[in-house]
Amino acid sequence: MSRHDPLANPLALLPRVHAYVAYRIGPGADAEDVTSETFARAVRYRESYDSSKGAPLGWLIGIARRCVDEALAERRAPEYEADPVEGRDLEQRTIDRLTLKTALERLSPRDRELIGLRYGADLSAREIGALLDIAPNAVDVALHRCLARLRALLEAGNPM
Amino acid sequence: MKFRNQFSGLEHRLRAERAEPSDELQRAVSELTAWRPSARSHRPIRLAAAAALTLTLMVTAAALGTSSFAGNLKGAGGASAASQYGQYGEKVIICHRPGKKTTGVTLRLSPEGAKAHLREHAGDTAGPCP
Repeated sequence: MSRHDPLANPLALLPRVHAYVAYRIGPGADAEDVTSETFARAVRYRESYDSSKGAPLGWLIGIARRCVDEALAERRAPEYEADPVEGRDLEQRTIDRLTLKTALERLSPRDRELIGLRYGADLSAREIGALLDIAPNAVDVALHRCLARLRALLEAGNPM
Repeated sequence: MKFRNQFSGLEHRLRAERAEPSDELQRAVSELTAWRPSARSHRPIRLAAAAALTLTLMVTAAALGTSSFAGNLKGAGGASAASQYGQYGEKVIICHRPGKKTTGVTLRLSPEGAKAHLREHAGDTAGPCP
């Protein structure tokens, strides 16, 4: 096999691609379907991969981004799933005991993208900057602010 | 970076709690990526092979009396599957359904790869996914 085949070791890349997709649209069957579609497209376009432009993971994540955007456009913005606890008003339900998943759902799509790229796909600031067309320093700043917002959401739900 | 230390616990949690792909998805991706064209193939050879294959199948189609290919049949079957080959040159389009979701993923495969998918996966069908 050619050493430039981006899919020479797909199972090593799959967890990172899937984690990125799951951080963007939530875990579950939808994330698995979008991940599957990502690899299906990668198979079709594998011959177009140029190793001089970056590692296979970055190439795959680029494909995954488009698949996620298409999936989100098809199903519209996901609604928050309020905790179905009887006897509480909506405001109390939304701040009461937020889990990480629930907190992530309350982030903006941009923040979820950053979280997905950095902590799902494990991309470096430079690789993220190349995908988003921003400087690596700007990626670091954006991530810092994103984590601050996420922590604030988590702390609001866990006053202890 | 100094500010990274403020969030080290949260960063660790984001990595520790990230979703993992199911066994089914791993199998599907493994199968999807298993096929690839021959490393020796070059564009002129592929074009010549595609032309030869197309010509052969046109003759076959005339003999079988069929005028259309992909999209007419569901599932695998010796002569039926064979009549699907070649509509798109050396690539054959199938709908591969790796798991729960019914819509599946549209794949473009070699005739041999398509035949293997249709034979080994009862849910796969000829033609693009709806």
